[in-house]
Amino acid sequence: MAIESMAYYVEKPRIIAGPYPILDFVKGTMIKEFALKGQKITTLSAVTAEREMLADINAKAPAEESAITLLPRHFPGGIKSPHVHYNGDIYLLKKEDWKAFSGKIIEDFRTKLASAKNINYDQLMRLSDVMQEII
Amino acid sequence: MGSIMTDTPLDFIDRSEHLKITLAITLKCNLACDYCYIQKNGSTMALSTARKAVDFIFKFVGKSNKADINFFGGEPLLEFDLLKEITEMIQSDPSFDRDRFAISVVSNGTIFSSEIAEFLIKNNVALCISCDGPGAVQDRYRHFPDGRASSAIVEENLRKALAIFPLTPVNAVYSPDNFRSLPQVVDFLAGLGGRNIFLSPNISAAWTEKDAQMLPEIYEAIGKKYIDYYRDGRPRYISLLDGKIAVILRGGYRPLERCRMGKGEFAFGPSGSIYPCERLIGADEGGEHCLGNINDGAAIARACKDISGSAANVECQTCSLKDYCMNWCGCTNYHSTGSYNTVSAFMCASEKAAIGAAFNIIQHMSENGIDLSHHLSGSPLMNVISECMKEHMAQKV
Repeated sequence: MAIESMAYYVEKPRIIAGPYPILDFVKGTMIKEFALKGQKITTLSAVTAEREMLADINAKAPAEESAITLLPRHFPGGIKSPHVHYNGDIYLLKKEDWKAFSGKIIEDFRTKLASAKNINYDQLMRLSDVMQEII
Repeated sequence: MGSIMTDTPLDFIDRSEHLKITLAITLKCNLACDYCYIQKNGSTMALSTARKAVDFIFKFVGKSNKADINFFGGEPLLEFDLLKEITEMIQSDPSFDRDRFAISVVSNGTIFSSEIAEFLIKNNVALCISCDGPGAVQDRYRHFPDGRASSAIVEENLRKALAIFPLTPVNAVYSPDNFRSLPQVVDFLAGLGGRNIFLSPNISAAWTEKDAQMLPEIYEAIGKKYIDYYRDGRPRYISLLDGKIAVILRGGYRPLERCRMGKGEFAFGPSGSIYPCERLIGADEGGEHCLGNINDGAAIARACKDISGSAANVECQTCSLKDYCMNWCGCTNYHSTGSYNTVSAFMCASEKAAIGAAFNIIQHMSENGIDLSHHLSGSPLMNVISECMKEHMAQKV
Protein backbone atom coordinates (compact mmCIF):
# COMPACT_ATOMS: atom_id res chain seq x y z
CA MET A 1 0.00 0.00 0.00
CA ALA A 2 1.34 3.39 -0.88
CA ILE A 3 0.71 6.23 1.47
CA GLU A 4 0.61 9.59 -0.24
CA SER A 5 1.79 12.33 2.05
CA MET A 6 1.44 16.02 1.40
CA ALA A 7 4.86 16.71 2.80
CA TYR A 8 6.55 19.88 1.74
CA TYR A 9 9.10 20.26 -0.93
CA VAL A 10 11.41 23.13 -0.34
CA GLU A 11 12.80 24.84 -3.33
CA LYS A 12 14.81 27.97 -3.38
CA PRO A 13 13.85 30.68 -3.56
CA ARG A 14 10.37 29.65 -2.51
CA ILE A 15 8.63 27.04 -0.45
CA ILE A 16 6.10 24.96 -2.30
CA ALA A 17 3.84 22.15 -1.23
CA GLY A 18 3.51 19.00 -3.25
CA PRO A 19 2.87 15.31 -2.98
CA TYR A 20 5.73 13.22 -1.72
CA PRO A 21 5.25 9.50 -1.90
CA ILE A 22 5.96 7.75 1.34
CA LEU A 23 6.11 4.12 0.45
CA ASP A 24 4.82 1.47 2.72
CA PHE A 25 7.50 0.58 5.21
CA VAL A 26 8.08 -2.84 6.58
CA LYS A 27 7.51 -1.17 9.92
CA GLY A 28 4.07 0.04 8.80
CA THR A 29 2.13 -1.65 11.57
CA MET A 30 4.46 -0.29 14.19
CA ILE A 31 4.27 3.18 12.70
CA LYS A 32 0.48 3.03 12.98
CA GLU A 33 0.71 1.90 16.59
CA PHE A 34 3.00 4.75 17.55
CA ALA A 35 1.32 7.33 15.33
CA LEU A 36 -1.87 6.83 17.25
CA LYS A 37 -0.01 7.62 20.47
CA GLY A 38 1.32 10.85 19.00
CA GLN A 39 -0.10 14.27 18.39
CA LYS A 40 -1.56 14.46 14.91
CA ILE A 41 -0.72 17.49 12.86
CA THR A 42 -1.49 18.15 9.24
CA THR A 43 1.43 18.67 6.96
CA LEU A 44 0.14 22.07 5.99
CA SER A 45 0.51 23.25 9.56
CA ALA A 46 3.95 21.72 9.89
CA VAL A 47 5.83 24.93 9.33
CA THR A 48 8.99 24.37 11.23
CA ALA A 49 11.68 26.67 12.42
CA GLU A 50 13.81 25.52 9.50
CA ARG A 51 11.17 26.42 6.98
CA GLU A 52 10.62 29.81 8.56
CA MET A 53 14.38 30.29 8.42
CA LEU A 54 14.50 29.41 4.74
CA ALA A 55 11.60 31.72 3.94
CA ASP A 56 13.44 34.45 5.84
CA ILE A 57 16.64 33.82 3.87
CA ASN A 58 14.76 34.06 0.62
CA ALA A 59 12.80 37.13 1.64
CA LYS A 60 15.88 39.04 2.77
CA ALA A 61 18.21 38.01 -0.03
CA PRO A 62 18.64 40.48 -2.87
CA ALA A 63 17.42 39.16 -6.21
CA GLU A 64 20.87 38.24 -7.46
CA GLU A 65 21.65 36.39 -4.25
CA SER A 66 18.39 34.54 -3.86
CA ALA A 67 19.78 31.92 -6.15
CA ILE A 68 22.52 30.85 -3.73
CA THR A 69 22.44 27.12 -4.04
CA LEU A 70 21.93 26.32 -0.42
CA LEU A 71 19.50 23.61 -1.36
CA PRO A 72 20.26 22.43 -4.87
CA ARG A 73 17.55 19.84 -4.76
CA HIS A 74 14.16 19.36 -3.28
CA PHE A 75 14.05 17.53 -0.02
CA PRO A 76 11.25 16.17 2.05
CA GLY A 77 10.98 16.70 5.76
CA GLY A 78 11.88 19.55 8.05
CA ILE A 79 10.57 18.62 11.45
CA LYS A 80 13.37 18.13 13.92
CA SER A 81 11.19 16.71 16.66
CA PRO A 82 10.58 12.96 16.74
CA HIS A 83 7.74 12.15 14.38
CA VAL A 84 6.30 9.52 12.09
CA HIS A 85 4.24 9.82 8.92
CA TYR A 86 1.09 7.80 8.78
CA ASN A 87 -1.79 7.82 6.34
CA GLY A 88 -1.00 11.27 4.98
CA ASP A 89 -0.55 12.94 8.35
CA ILE A 90 2.37 13.61 10.64
CA TYR A 91 2.31 12.50 14.24
CA LEU A 92 4.64 14.16 16.70
CA LEU A 93 5.95 11.67 19.23
CA LYS A 94 7.02 12.31 22.79
CA LYS A 95 10.69 11.58 23.36
CA GLU A 96 9.85 8.48 25.34
CA ASP A 97 7.61 7.21 22.55
CA TRP A 98 10.38 7.71 20.01
CA LYS A 99 12.73 5.87 22.34
CA ALA A 100 10.25 3.02 22.63
CA PHE A 101 9.76 3.03 18.84
CA SER A 102 13.47 2.87 18.06
CA GLY A 103 13.92 0.42 20.95
CA LYS A 104 11.56 -2.02 19.24
CA ILE A 105 13.47 -1.67 15.99
CA ILE A 106 16.77 -2.25 17.81
CA GLU A 107 15.43 -5.33 19.56
CA ASP A 108 14.14 -6.80 16.30
CA PHE A 109 17.24 -5.92 14.29
CA ARG A 110 19.74 -7.29 16.81
CA THR A 111 18.51 -10.80 16.05
CA LYS A 112 18.79 -10.24 12.31
CA LEU A 113 22.33 -8.95 12.63
CA ALA A 114 23.37 -11.93 14.73
CA SER A 115 22.00 -14.46 12.27
CA ALA A 116 23.38 -12.92 9.06
CA LYS A 117 25.09 -15.21 6.56
CA ASN A 118 28.56 -14.73 5.12
CA ILE A 119 29.91 -15.11 1.64
CA ASN A 120 33.34 -16.42 2.33
CA TYR A 121 36.45 -16.09 0.26
CA ASP A 122 37.02 -19.85 -0.09
CA GLN A 123 33.66 -20.39 -1.77
CA LEU A 124 34.30 -17.68 -4.32
CA MET A 125 37.77 -19.04 -5.00
CA ARG A 126 36.27 -22.47 -5.68
CA LEU A 127 33.60 -20.90 -7.90
CA SER A 128 36.30 -19.05 -9.79
CA ASP A 129 38.27 -22.28 -10.28
CA VAL A 130 35.18 -24.07 -11.64
CA MET A 131 34.50 -21.18 -14.02
CA GLN A 132 38.08 -21.33 -15.26
CA GLU A 133 37.71 -25.05 -15.95
CA ILE A 134 34.48 -24.47 -17.89
CA ILE A 135 36.07 -21.72 -19.96
CA MET B 1 15.36 3.85 -40.55
CA GLY B 2 12.75 3.85 -37.81
CA SER B 3 12.49 5.94 -34.73
CA ILE B 4 13.10 5.10 -31.10
CA MET B 5 9.74 6.62 -30.35
CA THR B 6 7.72 4.32 -32.56
CA ASP B 7 9.58 1.18 -33.45
CA THR B 8 11.23 -0.06 -30.32
CA PRO B 9 9.44 -2.27 -27.83
CA LEU B 10 10.38 -0.57 -24.59
CA ASP B 11 7.86 -2.08 -22.23
CA PHE B 12 10.65 -3.10 -19.89
CA ILE B 13 11.45 0.51 -19.04
CA ASP B 14 10.37 1.21 -15.52
CA ARG B 15 8.35 4.39 -15.84
CA SER B 16 7.00 4.12 -12.32
CA GLU B 17 8.39 7.34 -10.93
CA HIS B 18 11.97 8.20 -11.36
CA LEU B 19 14.35 7.87 -14.28
CA LYS B 20 18.08 8.17 -13.65
CA ILE B 21 20.01 9.23 -16.73
CA THR B 22 23.75 9.71 -17.08
CA LEU B 23 25.14 11.65 -20.01
CA ALA B 24 28.84 10.88 -20.38
CA ILE B 25 29.41 13.87 -22.62
CA THR B 26 33.12 13.24 -23.04
CA LEU B 27 35.62 10.50 -22.32
CA LYS B 28 38.41 13.09 -22.23
CA CYS B 29 39.90 13.55 -18.80
CA ASN B 30 42.75 15.65 -17.49
CA LEU B 31 43.41 13.12 -14.73
CA ALA B 32 44.52 9.50 -15.07
CA CYS B 33 43.09 7.89 -11.94
CA ASP B 34 44.35 4.34 -11.65
CA TYR B 35 41.05 2.81 -10.61
CA CYS B 36 38.75 4.60 -13.09
CA TYR B 37 36.26 2.29 -14.79
CA ILE B 38 36.02 4.62 -17.82
CA GLN B 39 38.63 4.08 -20.52
CA LYS B 40 39.54 7.51 -21.84
CA ASN B 41 39.67 7.85 -25.61
CA GLY B 42 39.12 11.53 -26.20
CA SER B 43 35.68 11.15 -27.71
CA THR B 44 33.02 13.79 -27.10
CA MET B 45 29.28 13.65 -27.62
CA ALA B 46 27.92 15.37 -30.72
CA LEU B 47 25.15 17.88 -30.12
CA SER B 48 22.87 15.88 -32.44
CA THR B 49 23.42 12.79 -30.27
CA ALA B 50 22.70 14.81 -27.14
CA ARG B 51 19.47 16.02 -28.75
CA LYS B 52 18.32 12.42 -29.25
CA ALA B 53 19.27 11.49 -25.69
CA VAL B 54 17.31 14.45 -24.35
CA ASP B 55 14.30 13.45 -26.47
CA PHE B 56 14.61 9.96 -24.98
CA ILE B 57 14.52 11.42 -21.48
CA PHE B 58 11.43 13.53 -22.05
CA LYS B 59 9.68 10.73 -23.88
CA PHE B 60 10.03 8.33 -20.99
CA VAL B 61 9.68 10.66 -18.07
CA GLY B 62 6.26 11.71 -19.28
CA LYS B 63 4.29 14.51 -17.75
CA SER B 64 4.28 13.55 -14.10
CA ASN B 65 7.34 11.49 -13.29
CA LYS B 66 10.81 12.66 -12.35
CA ALA B 67 14.30 12.37 -13.75
CA ASP B 68 17.79 12.89 -12.43
CA ILE B 69 20.10 13.89 -15.27
CA ASN B 70 23.76 13.65 -14.49
CA PHE B 71 26.63 15.01 -16.59
CA PHE B 72 29.52 12.62 -16.38
CA GLY B 73 32.78 11.83 -18.14
CA GLY B 74 35.73 11.72 -18.42
CA GLU B 75 35.77 15.18 -16.95
CA PRO B 76 32.56 16.88 -18.13
CA LEU B 77 33.79 20.38 -17.25
CA LEU B 78 36.45 20.02 -19.96
CA GLU B 79 33.47 20.40 -22.29
CA PHE B 80 31.82 23.22 -20.41
CA ASP B 81 30.37 24.85 -23.56
CA LEU B 82 28.75 21.57 -24.60
CA LEU B 83 27.47 21.04 -21.07
CA LYS B 84 25.88 24.51 -21.17
CA GLU B 85 24.28 23.80 -24.55
CA ILE B 86 22.79 20.50 -23.40
CA THR B 87 21.51 22.11 -20.19
CA GLU B 88 19.82 24.78 -22.30
CA MET B 89 18.40 22.02 -24.50
CA ILE B 90 16.94 20.26 -21.45
CA GLN B 91 15.58 23.39 -19.81
CA SER B 92 14.01 24.75 -22.97
CA ASP B 93 11.95 21.62 -23.55
CA PRO B 94 8.25 22.43 -23.07
CA SER B 95 7.96 19.53 -20.62
CA PHE B 96 10.86 20.72 -18.46
CA ASP B 97 9.86 21.45 -14.90
CA ARG B 98 12.36 22.22 -12.14
CA ASP B 99 10.27 20.31 -9.65
CA ARG B 100 10.68 17.10 -11.61
CA PHE B 101 14.05 17.36 -13.31
CA ALA B 102 17.25 17.54 -11.25
CA ILE B 103 20.47 18.18 -13.14
CA SER B 104 23.90 17.50 -11.70
CA VAL B 105 27.51 17.31 -12.81
CA VAL B 106 30.23 15.05 -11.43
CA SER B 107 33.69 16.60 -11.55
CA ASN B 108 37.17 15.52 -10.54
CA GLY B 109 37.63 18.89 -8.84
CA THR B 110 40.49 20.15 -10.99
CA ILE B 111 38.33 22.65 -12.86
CA PHE B 112 36.31 25.34 -11.12
CA SER B 113 35.79 29.02 -11.80
CA SER B 114 33.41 31.84 -11.02
CA GLU B 115 31.94 31.38 -14.51
CA ILE B 116 31.17 27.73 -13.73
CA ALA B 117 29.75 28.65 -10.31
CA GLU B 118 27.50 31.30 -11.85
CA PHE B 119 26.25 28.83 -14.44
CA LEU B 120 25.50 26.20 -11.79
CA ILE B 121 23.65 28.73 -9.65
CA LYS B 122 21.67 30.21 -12.51
CA ASN B 123 20.62 26.82 -13.82
CA ASN B 124 20.18 25.05 -10.48
CA VAL B 125 22.70 22.39 -11.45
CA ALA B 126 24.14 20.48 -8.51
CA LEU B 127 27.88 19.89 -8.37
CA CYS B 128 29.48 16.69 -7.06
CA ILE B 129 33.25 16.53 -6.58
CA SER B 130 35.50 13.51 -6.26
CA CYS B 131 38.29 13.75 -3.70
CA ASP B 132 39.82 10.76 -1.97
CA GLY B 133 41.17 12.67 1.02
CA PRO B 134 44.30 14.46 2.18
CA GLY B 135 47.31 14.82 -0.14
CA ALA B 136 48.93 11.41 0.22
CA VAL B 137 45.60 9.59 -0.11
CA GLN B 138 44.33 11.67 -3.03
CA ASP B 139 47.59 11.52 -4.97
CA ARG B 140 48.00 7.76 -4.55
CA TYR B 141 45.43 7.11 -7.29
CA ARG B 142 44.15 10.46 -8.52
CA HIS B 143 46.97 12.09 -10.47
CA PHE B 144 47.56 13.79 -13.79
CA PRO B 145 48.66 11.62 -16.74
CA ASP B 146 52.27 12.70 -16.26
CA GLY B 147 52.14 11.59 -12.65
CA ARG B 148 51.82 15.05 -11.10
CA ALA B 149 49.80 15.24 -7.93
CA SER B 150 46.25 16.61 -8.11
CA SER B 151 45.67 17.19 -4.39
CA ALA B 152 46.62 20.88 -4.17
CA ILE B 153 44.34 22.08 -6.94
CA VAL B 154 41.47 19.80 -5.92
CA GLU B 155 41.68 20.93 -2.30
CA GLU B 156 41.68 24.58 -3.37
CA ASN B 157 38.69 24.12 -5.68
CA LEU B 158 36.85 22.04 -3.12
CA ARG B 159 37.16 24.82 -0.54
CA LYS B 160 35.87 27.36 -3.06
CA ALA B 161 32.99 25.14 -4.18
CA LEU B 162 31.93 24.25 -0.63
CA ALA B 163 31.91 27.93 0.33
CA ILE B 164 29.35 28.57 -2.41
CA PHE B 165 27.55 25.21 -2.41
CA PRO B 166 27.79 23.92 1.16
CA LEU B 167 25.85 20.75 0.43
CA THR B 168 28.07 19.64 -2.45
CA PRO B 169 28.46 15.87 -2.30
CA VAL B 170 32.13 14.90 -2.03
CA ASN B 171 32.95 11.36 -3.08
CA ALA B 172 36.00 9.57 -1.71
CA VAL B 173 37.04 6.21 -3.11
CA TYR B 174 38.95 3.88 -0.81
CA SER B 175 41.19 1.01 -1.81
CA PRO B 176 42.86 -1.90 0.01
CA ASP B 177 46.01 0.12 0.65
CA ASN B 178 44.32 3.17 2.16
CA PHE B 179 40.98 2.17 3.69
CA ARG B 180 42.59 2.17 7.13
CA SER B 181 42.85 5.95 6.89
CA LEU B 182 39.12 6.42 6.19
CA PRO B 183 38.46 8.09 9.58
CA GLN B 184 41.17 10.65 8.74
CA VAL B 185 39.67 11.07 5.26
CA VAL B 186 36.30 11.90 6.83
CA ASP B 187 37.95 14.39 9.19
CA PHE B 188 39.82 15.98 6.30
CA LEU B 189 36.72 16.41 4.14
CA ALA B 190 34.68 17.67 7.07
CA GLY B 191 37.49 20.10 7.86
CA LEU B 192 37.28 21.52 4.34
CA GLY B 193 33.60 22.18 4.95
CA GLY B 194 32.23 18.96 3.46
CA ARG B 195 28.87 18.05 4.96
CA ASN B 196 27.69 15.54 2.41
CA ILE B 197 30.36 12.87 2.33
CA PHE B 198 30.19 9.77 0.18
CA LEU B 199 32.59 6.90 0.80
CA SER B 200 32.81 4.34 -2.00
CA PRO B 201 35.00 1.26 -2.18
CA ASN B 202 37.21 0.68 -5.19
CA ILE B 203 35.08 -2.18 -6.44
CA SER B 204 37.53 -3.70 -8.85
CA ALA B 205 40.44 -3.83 -6.40
CA ALA B 206 41.85 -7.08 -5.04
CA TRP B 207 40.40 -6.96 -1.53
CA THR B 208 41.74 -9.74 0.66
CA GLU B 209 40.09 -11.63 3.45
CA LYS B 210 42.38 -9.84 5.89
CA ASP B 211 41.14 -6.47 4.57
CA ALA B 212 37.56 -7.64 4.97
CA GLN B 213 38.20 -8.63 8.57
CA MET B 214 39.42 -5.11 9.35
CA LEU B 215 36.36 -3.36 7.93
CA PRO B 216 34.17 -3.47 11.08
CA GLU B 217 36.88 -1.72 13.11
CA ILE B 218 37.35 1.00 10.48
CA TYR B 219 33.64 1.61 9.94
CA GLU B 220 33.08 1.71 13.71
CA ALA B 221 35.78 4.39 13.96
CA ILE B 222 33.90 6.44 11.34
CA GLY B 223 30.74 5.82 13.36
CA LYS B 224 32.38 7.33 16.44
CA LYS B 225 33.23 10.43 14.43
CA TYR B 226 29.65 10.56 13.14
CA ILE B 227 28.38 10.62 16.73
CA ASP B 228 30.95 13.25 17.72
CA TYR B 229 29.85 15.50 14.86
CA TYR B 230 26.26 15.17 16.03
CA ARG B 231 27.19 15.82 19.62
CA ASP B 232 29.12 18.93 18.64
CA GLY B 233 26.13 20.31 16.74
CA ARG B 234 27.75 20.01 13.32
CA PRO B 235 26.25 16.83 11.87
CA ARG B 236 27.73 15.37 8.73
CA TYR B 237 25.97 13.15 6.23
CA ILE B 238 28.18 10.11 5.71
CA SER B 239 26.70 7.88 3.02
CA LEU B 240 28.17 4.66 4.33
CA LEU B 241 26.36 5.11 7.66
CA ASP B 242 23.38 7.38 7.01
CA GLY B 243 22.12 5.18 4.22
CA LYS B 244 22.19 2.15 6.48
CA ILE B 245 20.62 3.98 9.45
CA ALA B 246 17.71 4.85 7.16
CA VAL B 247 17.22 1.31 5.85
CA ILE B 248 17.42 -0.21 9.33
CA LEU B 249 14.72 2.16 10.61
CA ARG B 250 12.60 1.67 7.50
CA GLY B 251 12.94 -2.09 7.45
CA GLY B 252 14.87 -2.30 4.17
CA TYR B 253 15.56 -0.52 0.90
CA ARG B 254 12.58 1.00 -0.88
CA PRO B 255 12.03 -0.18 -4.47
CA LEU B 256 13.26 3.09 -5.99
CA GLU B 257 16.42 3.00 -3.89
CA ARG B 258 17.48 -0.28 -5.42
CA CYS B 259 19.47 -0.65 -8.58
CA ARG B 260 17.24 -0.34 -11.64
CA MET B 261 20.00 -0.64 -14.20
CA GLY B 262 18.67 -0.94 -17.70
CA LYS B 263 15.12 -0.42 -16.47
CA GLY B 264 14.99 2.88 -14.62
CA GLU B 265 18.63 3.81 -15.10
CA PHE B 266 20.45 4.43 -18.38
CA ALA B 267 23.82 5.87 -19.29
CA PHE B 268 24.68 7.37 -22.66
CA GLY B 269 28.24 7.28 -23.94
CA PRO B 270 29.56 9.99 -26.29
CA SER B 271 28.84 7.72 -29.28
CA GLY B 272 25.18 7.53 -28.33
CA SER B 273 25.51 3.96 -27.10
CA ILE B 274 23.22 3.18 -24.21
CA TYR B 275 24.38 1.26 -21.14
CA PRO B 276 22.53 0.09 -18.04
CA CYS B 277 24.78 2.13 -15.74
CA GLU B 278 27.60 4.68 -16.08
CA ARG B 279 30.00 2.23 -14.47
CA LEU B 280 29.55 -0.03 -17.49
CA ILE B 281 30.37 2.46 -20.26
CA GLY B 282 34.04 1.40 -20.35
CA ALA B 283 35.56 2.70 -23.59
CA ASP B 284 32.10 3.31 -25.12
CA GLU B 285 32.76 0.77 -27.81
CA GLY B 286 29.51 -1.13 -27.47
CA GLY B 287 30.30 -4.56 -26.13
CA GLU B 288 28.55 -6.87 -23.74
CA HIS B 289 26.84 -4.20 -21.64
CA CYS B 290 25.60 -2.08 -24.52
CA LEU B 291 21.83 -2.04 -24.98
CA GLY B 292 21.77 -0.18 -28.30
CA ASN B 293 22.56 3.22 -29.75
CA ILE B 294 20.40 6.32 -29.68
CA ASN B 295 21.51 7.11 -33.24
CA ASP B 296 20.08 3.84 -34.55
CA GLY B 297 16.46 3.42 -35.36
CA ALA B 298 16.27 0.51 -33.00
CA ALA B 299 17.91 2.55 -30.20
CA ILE B 300 17.49 0.11 -27.35
CA ALA B 301 17.91 -3.14 -29.17
CA ARG B 302 18.28 -5.34 -26.14
CA ALA B 303 16.32 -5.29 -22.94
CA CYS B 304 17.97 -5.80 -19.61
CA LYS B 305 15.68 -8.67 -18.80
CA ASP B 306 18.63 -10.75 -17.73
CA ILE B 307 19.43 -8.28 -14.97
CA SER B 308 17.29 -9.47 -12.14
CA GLY B 309 18.30 -6.93 -9.51
CA SER B 310 18.82 -9.58 -6.89
CA ALA B 311 21.79 -11.64 -5.85
CA ALA B 312 22.23 -15.18 -7.09
CA ASN B 313 24.42 -16.24 -4.16
CA VAL B 314 22.70 -18.89 -2.06
CA GLU B 315 23.92 -17.15 1.11
CA CYS B 316 22.18 -13.91 0.08
CA GLN B 317 18.84 -15.54 -0.57
CA THR B 318 18.56 -16.80 2.97
CA CYS B 319 20.45 -14.00 4.74
CA SER B 320 18.59 -12.09 7.44
CA LEU B 321 20.15 -8.85 6.17
CA LYS B 322 19.22 -9.29 2.50
CA ASP B 323 16.69 -6.41 2.58
CA TYR B 324 19.27 -4.08 4.17
CA CYS B 325 22.17 -4.90 1.87
CA MET B 326 23.10 -3.62 -1.58
CA ASN B 327 23.51 -7.13 -2.97
CA TRP B 328 21.37 -5.93 -5.90
CA CYS B 329 23.96 -3.47 -7.22
CA GLY B 330 24.62 -5.00 -10.65
CA CYS B 331 27.61 -2.87 -11.61
CA THR B 332 29.37 -3.41 -8.28
CA ASN B 333 28.80 -7.13 -8.62
CA TYR B 334 30.02 -7.09 -12.20
CA HIS B 335 33.23 -5.23 -11.41
CA SER B 336 34.02 -7.43 -8.44
CA THR B 337 32.94 -10.88 -9.67
CA GLY B 338 32.28 -10.59 -13.41
CA SER B 339 28.55 -11.23 -12.99
CA TYR B 340 25.69 -8.75 -12.40
CA ASN B 341 24.12 -11.08 -9.88
CA THR B 342 27.05 -12.53 -7.98
CA VAL B 343 28.09 -10.71 -4.84
CA SER B 344 31.75 -10.72 -3.81
CA ALA B 345 32.98 -11.78 -0.39
CA PHE B 346 34.35 -8.26 0.10
CA MET B 347 31.03 -6.54 -0.64
CA CYS B 348 29.29 -8.96 1.74
CA ALA B 349 31.78 -8.09 4.47
CA SER B 350 31.60 -4.37 3.72
CA GLU B 351 27.82 -4.25 3.74
CA LYS B 352 27.65 -6.20 6.96
CA ALA B 353 30.26 -3.95 8.60
CA ALA B 354 28.42 -0.81 7.50
CA ILE B 355 25.08 -2.17 8.73
CA GLY B 356 26.71 -3.11 12.06
CA ALA B 357 28.25 0.36 12.49
CA ALA B 358 24.95 2.06 11.60
CA PHE B 359 23.11 -0.16 14.07
CA ASN B 360 25.51 0.81 16.82
CA ILE B 361 24.87 4.49 16.04
CA ILE B 362 21.11 3.94 16.28
CA GLN B 363 21.57 2.22 19.63
CA HIS B 364 23.80 4.99 20.93
CA MET B 365 21.49 7.76 19.71
CA SER B 366 18.46 6.03 21.15
CA GLU B 367 20.12 5.56 24.55
CA ASN B 368 21.03 9.24 24.55
CA GLY B 369 17.64 10.49 23.46
CA ILE B 370 18.82 11.71 20.07
CA ASP B 371 16.15 11.68 17.41
CA LEU B 372 16.82 10.01 14.08
CA SER B 373 13.25 10.14 12.82
CA HIS B 374 14.34 11.99 9.66
CA HIS B 375 16.04 8.82 8.59
CA LEU B 376 12.77 6.99 8.97
CA SER B 377 10.35 9.23 7.17
CA GLY B 378 12.21 12.11 5.63
CA SER B 379 15.74 12.67 4.45
CA PRO B 380 18.89 11.64 6.33
CA LEU B 381 20.30 14.93 5.04
CA MET B 382 17.78 16.96 7.04
CA ASN B 383 19.91 17.54 10.10
CA VAL B 384 22.80 18.67 7.91
CA ILE B 385 20.51 21.01 6.00
CA SER B 386 19.21 22.55 9.21
CA GLU B 387 22.70 23.37 10.44
CA CYS B 388 23.57 24.73 7.02
CA MET B 389 20.60 27.08 7.12
CA LYS B 390 21.48 28.29 10.60
CA GLU B 391 25.04 29.09 9.55
CA HIS B 392 23.81 30.82 6.43
CA MET B 393 21.45 32.95 8.53
CA ALA B 394 24.21 33.77 10.99
CA GLN B 395 26.43 34.96 8.13
CA LYS B 396 23.64 37.16 6.81
CA VAL B 397 23.13 38.76 10.21
